[in-house]
Amino acid sequence: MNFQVTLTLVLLFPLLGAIVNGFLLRKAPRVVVAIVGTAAIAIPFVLSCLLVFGPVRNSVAPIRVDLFNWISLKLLNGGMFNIPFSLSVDRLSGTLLLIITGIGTLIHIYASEYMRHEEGVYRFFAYLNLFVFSMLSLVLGANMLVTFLGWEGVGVCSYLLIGYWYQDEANARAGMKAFVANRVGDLGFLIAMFMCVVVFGTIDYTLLGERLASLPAAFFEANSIQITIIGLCLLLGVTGKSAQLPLYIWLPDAMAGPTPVSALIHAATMVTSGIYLMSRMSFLLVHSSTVMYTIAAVGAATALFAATIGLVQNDIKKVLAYSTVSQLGFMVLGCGVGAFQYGVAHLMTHAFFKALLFLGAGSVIHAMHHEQDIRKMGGLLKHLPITGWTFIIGTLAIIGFPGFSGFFSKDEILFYAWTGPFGHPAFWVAGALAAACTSFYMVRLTVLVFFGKSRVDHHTAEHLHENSWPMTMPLVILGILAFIGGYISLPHGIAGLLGVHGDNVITAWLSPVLAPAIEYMHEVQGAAHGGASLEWALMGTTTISMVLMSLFAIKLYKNGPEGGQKLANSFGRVYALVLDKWRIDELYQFSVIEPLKCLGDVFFKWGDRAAIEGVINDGPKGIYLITSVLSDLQTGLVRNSLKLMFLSVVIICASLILF
Amino acid sequence: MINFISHWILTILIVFPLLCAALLFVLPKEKLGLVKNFAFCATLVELVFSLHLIVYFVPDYSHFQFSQIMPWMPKPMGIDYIVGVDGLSLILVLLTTALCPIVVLSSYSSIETKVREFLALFLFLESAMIGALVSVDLVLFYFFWEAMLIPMYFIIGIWGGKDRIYATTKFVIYTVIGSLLMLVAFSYLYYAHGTISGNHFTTNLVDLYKTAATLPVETQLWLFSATAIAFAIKVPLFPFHTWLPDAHVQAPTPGSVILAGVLLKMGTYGFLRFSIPMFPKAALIAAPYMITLAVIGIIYGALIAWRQTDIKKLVAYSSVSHLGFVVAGMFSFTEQGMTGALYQMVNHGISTGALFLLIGVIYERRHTREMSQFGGLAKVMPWYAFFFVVATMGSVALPGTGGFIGEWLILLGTFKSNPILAVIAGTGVIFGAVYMLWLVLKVIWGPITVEENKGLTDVNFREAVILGTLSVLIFACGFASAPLLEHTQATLLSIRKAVVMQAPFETSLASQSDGKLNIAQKGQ
Repeated sequence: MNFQVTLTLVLLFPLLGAIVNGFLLRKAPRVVVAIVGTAAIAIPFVLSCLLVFGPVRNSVAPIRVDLFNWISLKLLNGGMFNIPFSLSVDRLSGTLLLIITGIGTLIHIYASEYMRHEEGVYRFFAYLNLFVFSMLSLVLGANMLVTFLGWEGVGVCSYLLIGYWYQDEANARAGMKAFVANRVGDLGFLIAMFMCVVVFGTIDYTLLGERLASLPAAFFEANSIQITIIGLCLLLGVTGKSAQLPLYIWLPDAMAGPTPVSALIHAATMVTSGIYLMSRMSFLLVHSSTVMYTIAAVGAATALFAATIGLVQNDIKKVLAYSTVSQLGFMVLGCGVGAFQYGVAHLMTHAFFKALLFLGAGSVIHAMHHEQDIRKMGGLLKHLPITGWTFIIGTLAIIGFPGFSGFFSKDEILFYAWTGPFGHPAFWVAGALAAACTSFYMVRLTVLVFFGKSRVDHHTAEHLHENSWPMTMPLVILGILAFIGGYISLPHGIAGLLGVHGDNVITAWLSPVLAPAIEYMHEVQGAAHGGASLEWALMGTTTISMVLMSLFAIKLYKNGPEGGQKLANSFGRVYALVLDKWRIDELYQFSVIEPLKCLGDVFFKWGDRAAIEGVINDGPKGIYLITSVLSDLQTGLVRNSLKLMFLSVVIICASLILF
Repeated sequence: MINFISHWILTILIVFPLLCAALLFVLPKEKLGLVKNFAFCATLVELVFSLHLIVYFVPDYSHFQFSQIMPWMPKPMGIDYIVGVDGLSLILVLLTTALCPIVVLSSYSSIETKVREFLALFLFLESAMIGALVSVDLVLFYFFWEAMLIPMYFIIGIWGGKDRIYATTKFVIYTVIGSLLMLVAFSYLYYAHGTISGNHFTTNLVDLYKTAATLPVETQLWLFSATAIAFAIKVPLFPFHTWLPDAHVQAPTPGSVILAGVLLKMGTYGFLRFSIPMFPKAALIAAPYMITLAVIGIIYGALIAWRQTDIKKLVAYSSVSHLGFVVAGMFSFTEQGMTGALYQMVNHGISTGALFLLIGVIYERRHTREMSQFGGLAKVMPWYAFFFVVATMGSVALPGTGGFIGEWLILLGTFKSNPILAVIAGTGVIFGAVYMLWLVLKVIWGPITVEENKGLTDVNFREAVILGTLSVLIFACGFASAPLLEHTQATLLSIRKAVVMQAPFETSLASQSDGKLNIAQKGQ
């Protein structure tokens, strides 16, 4: 089959699935809905494999298909302003393509079981299919406008899915919060797009890359401010979509959605689109060191900040949510210090282990009849063995236990945070501290849920049993991936021990896409400083702190949450503040939302009703009075209008005499 | 035959609804169904007629096409019946003919008294709207411009809500004050042309474009201001907007739809047809002020919309915000901004029209528009919720809807001419999401809090057809923007040329025959 057709089909199947589920299968049996919904993602997965392991691997240039002309304007200078609806796939988008459709398929299978007690499940699968369509257009878009279609599209699907159980207004509010916070970031994306049109005359990624490569150094000097603004605006978009400081506030609330949604959208795919965007635009971002350092600082700060909140949460999904914010911080940090390939590598390993953890949490919640408080769990390993053991694999992966996937990708990011082209020891310190916190809260979570004495209430305990295969099968597959996925980013030191030389898999795989950025950084900043000995030292430090923190968490929580609570209480008000998530939501409410509401009221009451109405309303009243003098008021308005026209004729005559 | 139709098509489009309005009174008064269906068919036939325009329109040609000249008033006055369409009016004529059947269909249930009179007035209004859009003669335009007021005055005044008389009086007085200023400007221009050309008086727009552009800058500024105030009131541009919320809230559903869908566009159309190409020097000077007012309106309207509890008032204020985008775009004098502005006129008509229809649906069932009276409608009215969310997405300019293409082009164009104001306008995109999603949250999501809402019935077949058509249009405009905008490009480009080159707007009256254009034909 023609590659272009394959690529188009990859995009169209999920859309078709959404339409069929949403309109035709409203009354269909649940099984049919689930099969259609899953097939709409599974078929693109197969097609994606054909594409990525075939033509995409073999060619350096992206495979491109122009579907139709989206915007086409004539210009006064005789030229055209064309923006085609084009798709392209290269190794970067190919990687994302496999993650989205692959994990998407697993989660659709999982959801068919998880959502079985819901009424009108067609709606859920329609939204989920639509989400995958949006996510695919985000990564497959050949220009920024098509990407933006997906960028906002995933926002809407996220809005709809967070508020899936809309009858509780809190869920709908959480959805709205997510949409609005994302929109703030989207404004950044929009401005970046406009700047690209103004500065470079194109928003097509390939053309942008070519143009940047061909421009002389003088151009970059003259336009350094513009390029910095583009980078910072893109970063604003990233902070919205990838839940970074200061716009991360929507992601924890987004846990109001069904758990498969949290796994797919708020862990594996949508929230990572910021990392995709930065890697896609890497050739531009690296031209401004201000931008790169800001990105790295935002990432490092988010990683640490969110990890501190994760330490004290008691809702199983909230812990994972803050953990996701923190891990996204690591990825952003990786991109910011110039290690885009490891940002993407961590994106992938994180997609495996975090989807696994969320699905595991969903399995627990499902078995526990929608109980999410970890203080009311404990000892679940013997009731839910598959869920438990895969969850433990996920935990080992995320805390970076040697040999598991998170170990490789996270340590590479931390290594570059110190030594990368835009690295700084301070970034490493923040990252290492965040990693230590990660070990603590993840082990705390695992111990409280799966080990120790059962604190499950009697009624629930009677019905506890492992879930059926559509829920456990994805867990097992993701468990395997979470274990082995890290070997694509084997550190040099370890690779050297194993006798492997040259670049590791992910660096070699992404090199055609990232080459312009890497070459530029090499030129300007010199090669990464720091050799294997530093790498071993850093790796050793983080591993030791990981082990210590894990042991500490086990010691504290092996007999239930009381031990930890005692320690927490000794921190007093600091603990209360962290438990309240540093009261950032309240800060926004107080400093942004309330003033704007107040401004709206002022505009309405004082501006519209008093000032404008007051002045202008009396004007017409005056004329009304004059005309009413001429005859009685009951003549109706048509005649008043005629009188006004008569008046106007008088004025015309007057003006004619004057001129 | 086709040549004959091409020659007469615009006149047919003007006269046909009027003729049908008259025929309505021949039909038996008791047979309401027949009367309604007849009016509906009339608007459908009108829509089919208007398709002739799009089939035979020559896209790459900026001048007036399908033009027709007939002597009207005595020769020395130079006032004739001249009609024609160019890229600017074509797309708006089609918007009008497409919305009218939908509006008539919506009136089936929303208008319960004096149905025949309502439909007759509505058809009269359609004639006037088409007439105003295709007039190439100032007096003829003024005639139709004022004629639009009469049916709208009665539609709000007779079939409106509690405070309908206040609202409709305010609406008419505001508009008439603007018209008066416009008439002064037009009259001055008429005599100025007569003086310059040696007692050769004319109201032919084609000739007046040339005269107007040669006037001294100071005079141009006066004339520009006079016409601009007239159109700014109609748009409505901040701070001339206060008639709009009142008119919208009091108007019956069909009235609101046509008001938001077409009548407001007459203001923005007026800018692009008269103020800008006639007085290009003045337009260029005024542009920063116009964009500033527009941007204030975007933020101002959005923040006020957010604080409303009456659903209809919320949507009315959202129009103030949305039309701010349109005005900002056209005064950016960039290809993107001007095209976006024209496109956004259409998109706003569709998505806001849909929102007013949706409000009408629940108003007919519950006789209230207070937000607190609703909530949780998704449970009892799933299809209604679906259409509501689609219209909301169109309104917040989600990519994939027509509104996005329009807003994106507008913001890009404005950014090119004034980045700071464009960024401020861009925050309107965020506020737009805030107030619209707030509305959805309060009406569609959440638990059902009011007992009466538990028994609400979902949209019926007729309502589903109306809302479904608009929903399809919302998405169709989001993807088919290139072919839809193709016809507008030549005309918009020549308007931009007039401003950028500070030269008279070049146009002429051409007519179609045998699929070709006869360009030689000129006024007089």
